[in-house]
Amino acid sequence: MEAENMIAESQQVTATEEDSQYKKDSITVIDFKMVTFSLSGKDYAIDIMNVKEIAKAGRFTYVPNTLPFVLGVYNLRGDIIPILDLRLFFNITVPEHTDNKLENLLILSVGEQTFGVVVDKIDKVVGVQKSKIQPPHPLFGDINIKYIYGVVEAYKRLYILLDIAKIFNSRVAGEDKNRKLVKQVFTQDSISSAVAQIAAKLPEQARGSESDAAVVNPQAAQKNAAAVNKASEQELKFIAESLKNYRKFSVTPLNEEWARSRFASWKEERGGGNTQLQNENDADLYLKTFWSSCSGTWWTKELADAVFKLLPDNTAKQITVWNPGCGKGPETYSLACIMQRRYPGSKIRIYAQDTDLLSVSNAPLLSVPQDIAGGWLSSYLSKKANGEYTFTQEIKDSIMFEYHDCMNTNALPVIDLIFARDLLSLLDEKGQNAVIGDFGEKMKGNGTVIIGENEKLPSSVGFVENAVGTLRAYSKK
Amino acid sequence: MRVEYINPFVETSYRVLKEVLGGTDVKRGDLYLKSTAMPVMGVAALVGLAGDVEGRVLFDMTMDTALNIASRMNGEKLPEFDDLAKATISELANLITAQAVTKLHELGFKFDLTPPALFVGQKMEIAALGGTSENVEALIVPLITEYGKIEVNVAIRERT
Repeated sequence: MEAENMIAESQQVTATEEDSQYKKDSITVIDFKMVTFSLSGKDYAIDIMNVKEIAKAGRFTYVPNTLPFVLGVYNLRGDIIPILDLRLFFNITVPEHTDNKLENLLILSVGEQTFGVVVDKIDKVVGVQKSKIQPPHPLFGDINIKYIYGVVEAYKRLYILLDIAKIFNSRVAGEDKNRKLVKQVFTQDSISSAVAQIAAKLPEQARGSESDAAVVNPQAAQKNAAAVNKASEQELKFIAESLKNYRKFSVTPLNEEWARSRFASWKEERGGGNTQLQNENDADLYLKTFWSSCSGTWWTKELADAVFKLLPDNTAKQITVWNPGCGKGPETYSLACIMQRRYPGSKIRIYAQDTDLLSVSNAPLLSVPQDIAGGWLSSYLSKKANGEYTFTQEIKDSIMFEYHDCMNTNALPVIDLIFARDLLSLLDEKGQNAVIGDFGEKMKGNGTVIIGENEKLPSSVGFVENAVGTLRAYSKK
Repeated sequence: MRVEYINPFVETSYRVLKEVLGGTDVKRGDLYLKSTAMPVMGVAALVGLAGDVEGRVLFDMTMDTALNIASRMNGEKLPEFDDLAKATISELANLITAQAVTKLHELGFKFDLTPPALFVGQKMEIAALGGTSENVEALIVPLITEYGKIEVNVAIRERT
């Protein structure tokens, strides 16, 4: 059966009328058009540039052994195209229909491929201003938010704009560039130029000491400097290797900036020729400046207040925190207290995990030492009969300590805050990338990641930095 | 895995094993986490868990160990791995898991267990895939006795 083309023109006429009405209400530049449709009563939209046509069809040819949301294939005027059911894809209930009823089809072209998707009802073409499209908000259920490009309001209705490229998992080159919704703090170029600057500075420093001696012959000096540069590069490599062996610390783009600047100060400390790390003590000394303030121990009031300030407004009923690498737990408890203070109306749930079985096993029963108990934590503590201070039940209940390796599969709900200071550097590069990938996967669109003070997420992984003081926080692009 | 779950399993497997083997020396190896597919030594008893959590407990040992333990528990030398031996190993798995679950009940975690299933064979492998084709992380508790080594393999996760 040939598809019965329903050209959107007639619908578009009415849409333009409304458009002009809409234009009067607010001065809007329409630079983005989308086809709207509904799935179980909710409004969705797809960028019109992806929509080839609209059709009504039914009785698709079933193809065995395909994914459940693939209804089959269909002959669209000679082209055989796969037909998907968006309702099945998003786990929305499919209304019962008889065999003969025709389905509403949107024919989409993504890259070079053409698909047909079945939806409940196709509405009209709506024009909006691109800048009015807001990033997906985690409140919208039914659909995994990674398939949502954004949300936009038009004619007093909210449309959920689907990210077709993501759904069909195709890489449409070039198009992605226009898709950035939030202004990026760093563009790719600025990052690389910054790195280049730093890289340029380092040899300069190295050269600085050398050039005094060799000032007579500039050519020789240059040659010398290049050799020194090469040698120190080699030394740094050795140090990185030793750090990995002694303390499982991986020097990767994540912390390279720190490693380089630390190398410069290390050379000054040690003097020439003695820069290599001989044993674990040396490794510890080298890493001394790496650790964030209060890493692995009770937070000072200053740090607590800084974290408090950094946490964004969030009115969600339940706020979920992922704290991999919690160690013995003092940081997790400190964080729990701050979360309690920051979001008094919400239920806090912290997933605190570590691979050190002994530390993490004792964490639920941790008591607070006397000298700490008097400080800012005091209002969250209760005194036990034996004189020890422990946290109130509310704080304890908010934390779930787990024996878990975050490089394995992380089975977690969607996360509001990821708190992983100084953790990533202790994973190997592959593990780092996997965990950072999980950060993006598990975190809500409005979530925050906090990593170590001397760590830096590569700009390519989809996070933007918004540091407050020494704290390094990231949010999604 | 929640730390609260770990101890009941470690403790009961240690205690029950010691008890059924007539108080022999049972040593506990270092616990560790694993999330890759792993070979099964020869005899595996599996108990499923369902309720607030989902997961499974697997008791893995060689055929010789299984025969030795079954013989010791029955008080007679069993020449081959027959129905009695199979029932004995299943019961051991049941005993340990049930006691651990009882302990967890007292701590406020509610879940049920399935009857044990026993697998015997050569070159078997336990896949590390979970329900959603993600790798399941398992806690391994090695227990070493004079009759051989038993590995208790616990994979539990909260329903999310």
